Amino acid sequence: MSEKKEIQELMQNNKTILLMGAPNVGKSVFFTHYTKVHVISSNYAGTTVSYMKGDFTLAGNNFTMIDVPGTYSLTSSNEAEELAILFLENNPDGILFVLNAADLEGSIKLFLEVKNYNKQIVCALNLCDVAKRQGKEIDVELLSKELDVPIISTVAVKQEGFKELDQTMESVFSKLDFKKETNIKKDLDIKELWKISKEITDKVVSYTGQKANFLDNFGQKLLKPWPGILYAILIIILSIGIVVGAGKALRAVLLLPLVNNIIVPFFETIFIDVLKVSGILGNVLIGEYGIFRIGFEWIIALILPYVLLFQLVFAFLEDSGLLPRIAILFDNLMSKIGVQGGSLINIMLAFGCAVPAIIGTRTAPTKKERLVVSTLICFTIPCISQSGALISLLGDYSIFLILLLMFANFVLFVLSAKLLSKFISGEIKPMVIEIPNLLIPEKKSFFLKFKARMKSFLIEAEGPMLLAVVLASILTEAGLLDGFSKMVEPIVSGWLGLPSEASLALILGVIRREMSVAPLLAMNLTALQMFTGAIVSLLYLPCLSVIGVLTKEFDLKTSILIFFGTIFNAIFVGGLINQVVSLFI
Amino acid sequence: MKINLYDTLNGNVYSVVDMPKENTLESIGVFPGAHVKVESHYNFGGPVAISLGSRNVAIGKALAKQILVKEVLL
Ligand SMILES: Nc1nc2c(ncn2[C@@H]2O[C@H](COP(=O)(O)OP(=O)(O)OP(=O)(O)O)[C@@H](O)[C@H]2O)c(=O)[nH]1
Repeated sequence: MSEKKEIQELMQNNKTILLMGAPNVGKSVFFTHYTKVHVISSNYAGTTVSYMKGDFTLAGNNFTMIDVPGTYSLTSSNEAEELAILFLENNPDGILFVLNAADLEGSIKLFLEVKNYNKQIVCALNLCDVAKRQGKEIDVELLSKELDVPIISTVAVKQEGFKELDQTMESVFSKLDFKKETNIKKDLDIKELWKISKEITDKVVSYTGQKANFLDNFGQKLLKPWPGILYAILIIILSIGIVVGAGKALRAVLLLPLVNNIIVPFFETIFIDVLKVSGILGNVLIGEYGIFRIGFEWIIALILPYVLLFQLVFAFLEDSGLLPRIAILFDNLMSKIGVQGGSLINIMLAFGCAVPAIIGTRTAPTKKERLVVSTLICFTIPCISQSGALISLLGDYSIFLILLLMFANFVLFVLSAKLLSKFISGEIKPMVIEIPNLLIPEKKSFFLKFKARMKSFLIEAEGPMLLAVVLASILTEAGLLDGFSKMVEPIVSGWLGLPSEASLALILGVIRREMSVAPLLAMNLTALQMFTGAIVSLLYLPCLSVIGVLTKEFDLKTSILIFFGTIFNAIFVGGLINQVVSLFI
Repeated sequence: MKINLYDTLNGNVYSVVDMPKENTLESIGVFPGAHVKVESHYNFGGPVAISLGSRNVAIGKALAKQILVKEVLL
């Protein structure tokens, strides 16, 4: 495995500090503080499933900090745990371990497992605000004695305690003589570890008798099947409503006028009136499908508003700790179709983008679950850029078409899940999931994350989108598309019932998902054509970067199968709908 | 009297007697001898939510059925 080699080399050539702790204790916030590398933190287990590294200096020494995926233990029961063990076994120079003040027992147990590797450790006792809210008081000095390690209390999102932590890290890690110590690793008995952790916890935690606050009460209510399910459904409807409604408004009120009345006319003046370009070049630049027209129409007016709103809403859901609660409420449905509730978190993530969602399946306890969930995402979950384009396409006709598409999406999802879990071999284990505390997202880290997501969307999506736009312009405006259209006419027009120029959507859709919708917008389609086009696009292959991730996370065979499988499936199902409905109208 | 975790009553505390060897369970603190408080059951084949110390954990029905527990009288 190449990742293993990479890690060995990294650890040999640098002074490394591992950043470790249970999932969801706030490691990502510490990592950003030290390395200024922005990682995305979320309130559910498993935000960091691959590792991140970044450089920083302590007392004049250069270090590399490694953000190790959060794990509950070190027993190699999933890929994240295997990775954590690999790091520990490759002689790190020190460890910054993050304890969770709101769940001391679990943290201590993991700490003892890490301590068994005999490395220099500094501890941060994070989430102190949450512990306080729950009426817990922790005797940090005593804890530090019991664990035999320096401990600093912190509230990472507010940067509380970071100064002290910096000083402690400096004094501990600058004293290292950097002779790599050897592991004197003992075998540990998990039961024994839990017993010790409980004893220590009982010794250092006292209760102030603080009444549970509104958040804890609401969190508890969400956990009850009733009214939990009602709240969950309300939250989902509200989220979709905000994204669709506000996205539409943003598009209609601000972005469309901006593009149609200001930006495009501006380029029209430049190219046509000032530079006087004409002929094919003129068409490619500013014709009906010109680069400077669709580049702005598609990317700014069509996709951007929905991406923006989705990222805002989703960041809130993630940071608040609502996602795992929703997952639990739907575990029964999910197990009926052959998967388990926990994988719903990755599926919801995929509505943003499939790439992090597929990487996120690394925390799945079995190979089969990883493969089933990833394949399911590729076949049936539209990413937000694509959903945005679909909403624009159908919404201009009627809101009912959008609802119908959602329903069709749901049915296809259920069918695919059933089929995939039946035909992919292996087992899927029942859900075991930790439920995080409900938190009010901290303004600063919330917006940092939102900014980082938007930035990475702009950076990663911009290139391929521009490529698709340029390709579209050249193909259509230079007349190259006609040949291809003729070739696939039996499929596009005969089977799918779309105008033959719609073949452009099939070409562009290979590069990026939303581009399989965009060309349909200007085509004056009937309701049935719109719906067929939407279904084809929905099921069509995920974009090229997803195919890349699949190859990396699984293998070439899997990604090739998914590549052709999704294309075939999209055309088959889309055509079937067209043919059947055509019989009745 | 031994019963499985799925057939328990909300609000009661139980001690784990026997369970399948499952790393994911052990690593979050469910092991023979551990005390768990049952918080709620989800209808239609949903999971059981339990609390262990200050952690809340949900366990799928199929697995909960395989965990044998004994009521702890407080
Ligand atoms: N209230 C409060 N929230 C915090 C604190 N530290 C982190 N958070 C929030 O807790 C959540 C979890 O933080 P992450 O940084 O994603 O946790 P992580 O340890 O990186 O998680 P994994 O990547 O899953 O291992 C985020 O929503 C943070 O904003 C804190 O001290 N107090």
